[in-house]
Amino acid sequence: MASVEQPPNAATAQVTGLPAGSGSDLMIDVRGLNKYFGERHVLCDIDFPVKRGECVAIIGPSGSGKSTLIRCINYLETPTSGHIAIDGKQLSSDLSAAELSQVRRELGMVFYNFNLFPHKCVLDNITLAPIKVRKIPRAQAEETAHALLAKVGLAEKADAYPNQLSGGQKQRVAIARALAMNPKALLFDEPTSALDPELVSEVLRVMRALAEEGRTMVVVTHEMGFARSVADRVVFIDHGRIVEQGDPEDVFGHPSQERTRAFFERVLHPL
Amino acid sequence: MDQLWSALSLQIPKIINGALITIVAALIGMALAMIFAIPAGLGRLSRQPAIRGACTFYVEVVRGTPLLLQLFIWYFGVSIVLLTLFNFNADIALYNLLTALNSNNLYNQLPPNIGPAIFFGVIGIAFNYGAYLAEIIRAGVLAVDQGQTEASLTLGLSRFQTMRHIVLPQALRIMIPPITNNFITLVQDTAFLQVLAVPELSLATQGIAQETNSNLIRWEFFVVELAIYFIICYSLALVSQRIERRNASGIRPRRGALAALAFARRPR
Ligand SMILES: Nc1ncnc2c1ncn2[C@@H]1O[C@H](COP(=O)(O)OP(=O)(O)O)[C@@H](O)[C@H]1O
Ligand SMILES: [Mg+2]
Repeated sequence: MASVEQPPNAATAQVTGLPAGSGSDLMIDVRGLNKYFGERHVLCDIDFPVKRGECVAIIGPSGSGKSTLIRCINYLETPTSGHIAIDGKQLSSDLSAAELSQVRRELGMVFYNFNLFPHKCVLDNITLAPIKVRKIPRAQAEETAHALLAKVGLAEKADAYPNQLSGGQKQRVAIARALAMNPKALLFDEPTSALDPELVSEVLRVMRALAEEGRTMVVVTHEMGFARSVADRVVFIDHGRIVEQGDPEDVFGHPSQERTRAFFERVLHPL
Repeated sequence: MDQLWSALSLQIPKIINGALITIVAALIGMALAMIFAIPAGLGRLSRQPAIRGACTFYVEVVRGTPLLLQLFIWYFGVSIVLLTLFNFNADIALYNLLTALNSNNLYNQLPPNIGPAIFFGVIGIAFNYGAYLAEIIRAGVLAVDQGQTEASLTLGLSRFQTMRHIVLPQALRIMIPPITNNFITLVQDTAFLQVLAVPELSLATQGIAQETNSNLIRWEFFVVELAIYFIICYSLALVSQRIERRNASGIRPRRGALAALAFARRPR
């Protein structure tokens, strides 16, 4: 993969007020990222730095490349070009499987369809990776798991199997599973999109608590209320490009781009 | 009635012998077939083109040629090659194998020099079934939602750990019915060993049927043979049902995957 040497997009740096190119306080640093699926240019020159402790909401129309961006961050998709660093560690397709696993365990990922392991009970879902990857003794891993389950409000579900849970409960287990690895950052890909409307808030409340703890979070979401009230920064993506980003109040209050305005119009006033 | 019973009771030892050969050949054949199938099935999913190619070659050649012919190839070709190259004597190998299995007395009841026939016959059947089972394993692994692998990888598990702890346990449940299907047909296909003169259940029954002039008694022998095959195969079905029921919990295979599995079954 070619590492693209180019100055960070000046406009982006201005809007976010982030120091360009400084390594140390950036948890996630994406620069000049391009992703093609065959001929299709899905991500175009994305610069996406995330500071330690920052909660960033990514919004945008369906098919705009939000999932692809978040999946490139932990190399579930291999970027076509550009560079990605996690807490200063450069990712590339040259990394060995072991090195890639080293990076991935520091990035918790929460999927829209949960991806809980159906053949394992809730407790085993949560303790599997700490035991197998971090080599934590089972008793200690289970203690942590129980504490995390209490934190997401599911203390009594440790022995349940995923198919015995509601969608909202599944997603909270998935969050607990990600937290059990004590990751440096959490990536959420539309965590509430598969949920019945009345189950959305129980998941969002857990996520708000995580943001308030100061966890580094990247959240792809269609929940505009969450993006506006919880995120430190909102990034609007359309057609694989960052169209606009900044403080949620600014972006929601007076979007500077016509495309952003049109998107809000469709999302906030669908009728 | 008396006449039927006395004819049968005289031949019971030969029938039991034949049934034992069939059962032992089938059990060893199943185990060997899985040993061929697991690496071949996973190999077809490998990202290494050479591994993938070799496994595909195995599966396609075996599927594309008749089992009967493969048995002759193993018996006449491979056994001679092994004997000349490695001084490998299948008769001794068979004797040692049966000793290891505590079935030593079975060896003494076999016709002389039948070792290579049984040995290469069973390997041939296993090699053949390994290809079909490899396809089931491949389809079973593919039937597990890709999201499971992704979730596991993002937690930091290696590809091997992901296969071992996440994918294979789920794939196995999906694979049990088609694997059982293949094991059942494998039991019946041990009858092909008769072309190498192995006195398994079918050949044994034909042998004793020729010793009588009464079609009624012949019919009786064949009914007994039928019952024995049925008991063996139905036991397999029951065991598989138990395993399936014990493992029943919310695995949802990916859509379309079950259709693929149906095609992975050995056609009869
Ligand atoms: N594995 C893939 N192969 C080919 N095209 C893909 C693949 N994944 C996503 N795409 C395409 O890339 C574009 C962006 O997809 P995605 O990142 O999922 O968008 P979003 O999450 O914003 O809805 C879409 O047009 C989609 O069809
Ligand atoms: Mg998406």
